[in-house]
Amino acid sequence: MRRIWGSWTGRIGLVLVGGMTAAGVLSTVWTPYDPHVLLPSQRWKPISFTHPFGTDASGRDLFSLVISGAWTTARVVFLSTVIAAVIGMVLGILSAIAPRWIGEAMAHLIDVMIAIPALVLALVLVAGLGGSIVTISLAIGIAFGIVFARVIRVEAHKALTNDYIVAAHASGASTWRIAWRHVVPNIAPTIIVQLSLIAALTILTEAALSFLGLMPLATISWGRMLQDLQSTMTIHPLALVFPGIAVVLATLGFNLLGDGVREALDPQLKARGASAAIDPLLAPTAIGTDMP
Amino acid sequence: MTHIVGEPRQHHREHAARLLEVSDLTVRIGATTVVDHVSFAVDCGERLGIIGESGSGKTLSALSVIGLTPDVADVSGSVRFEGVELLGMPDRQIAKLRGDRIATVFQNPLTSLNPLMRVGRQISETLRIHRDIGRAKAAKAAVELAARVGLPDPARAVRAYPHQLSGGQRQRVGIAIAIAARPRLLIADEPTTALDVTVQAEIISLLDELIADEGTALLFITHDIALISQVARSLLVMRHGQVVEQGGVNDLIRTPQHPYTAQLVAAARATSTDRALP
Repeated sequence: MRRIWGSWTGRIGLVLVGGMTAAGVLSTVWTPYDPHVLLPSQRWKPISFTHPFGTDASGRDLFSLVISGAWTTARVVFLSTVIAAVIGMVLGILSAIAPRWIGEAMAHLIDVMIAIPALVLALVLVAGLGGSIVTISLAIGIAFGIVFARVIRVEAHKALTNDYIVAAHASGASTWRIAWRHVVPNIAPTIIVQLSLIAALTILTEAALSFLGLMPLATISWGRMLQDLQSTMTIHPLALVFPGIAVVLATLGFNLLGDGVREALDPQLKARGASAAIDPLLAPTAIGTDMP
Repeated sequence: MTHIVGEPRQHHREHAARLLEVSDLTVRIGATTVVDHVSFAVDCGERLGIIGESGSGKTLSALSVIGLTPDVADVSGSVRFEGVELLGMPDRQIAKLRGDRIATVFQNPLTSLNPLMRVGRQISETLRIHRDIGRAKAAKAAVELAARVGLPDPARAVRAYPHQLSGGQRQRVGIAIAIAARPRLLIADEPTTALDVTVQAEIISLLDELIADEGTALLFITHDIALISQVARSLLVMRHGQVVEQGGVNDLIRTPQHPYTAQLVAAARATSTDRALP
């Protein structure tokens, strides 16, 4: 954590992500105005002390809407990332440790499923289960989880070629034990970085899905705000800027956080690379050089 | 291993001495025969060396014993350990023997230890797999084992990560892992090849001492004939997947029958002027 804070990208990322989460949590207990109440008398108020971001066509306070939207985004990001992590790790690691033919079959299946876009999956799920934060997160989580599984499979495969995996087998460790004790810890840096990138993409996808109206009406989200405001874009362009900026900053936040985490973990990777590079120097001595 | 009650005692005795019996072991990878009808046997407490150049099939022969050949390898023949056939046994069952009855010390201690796991955990892992012991007991056992293999300050050493130890110390950890469950057979696959010359001697005498204490049988794989004369009494010379010569170490060095063995001895003599081979 301190390492992440140590780099500029990580620091900005942490501030943006932290800020978004804090705003979201705050919106559950307090917002300046109730974002669900329509006040026609207050429509299109300009930016002022009472309405820092102004109001929309129904007289709702845009600032309250933006911080409430942060809560929706935070929940979708959390759920989607957890779902993607579970799907990706289970499928990815299983396909890497399974017997060859099962693993290959799973890999091909994963390749086919990657072809299904998150949007189409979301439309199907919303049609089947009804639009909600959970449905949207499920769609995003599954779509990204499949892509994530591909990455995990490759990384796990690489980790499995290590000598210490053979050594663990020689100690009688079961495949499951090896996966849990040796493979997961060694691909953890990749997992963390990939998940932070998935979180960033989730924000964009969620905004897109809400923009298309897949989120229920009662759920305040940045995508829906953009959709509401875009019809009056030429008359009130400033109103559109705030949810737009919120999406950009949140996405940027997760992207930078991902970079920060990568940088924080990198020196460790370098150190490991260096110790591996030593071994040709220690490696085979000619026959009979050692005659103690 | 279990034997049927009422089995003639003599029968049991006959087989008690023979620990490992490999016959007609053949390993094919694709169209290539990497190990070709290799047979050898190791008795309880006996030490057998397998010597050969890289690619002679010595390591693969040893890995076949514990069922750790690559997926693509086709293994045939017979491997009997304590009278039980291991080839064709389900991996789950062989896994119970690995680390417990048959342990392995690997060539490169830099890569055969998990860089992210503390040394003590790696030492006690074998015990936690095969014995039903708790975390605290396992940790205590790790310290004792670290002390037995001569790691300096064992209580602290078990908390170190592999990169914090020297090559020789890491191989001591490798040996501690191997002897943790008191195996009957220890397979050492070029355990000193990756170490520098002075450390090699220490590791060899440590191995020698530990297995002498426990009466553990040893299968020592190397390409260094001078080294093997320190450890083993009998020797198997392999080349191109075949056994070219077999016999007592001293006999083979004094009067090699096969030209390849003669070559190995001559090469060893040529590179070592200060110490004489028997």
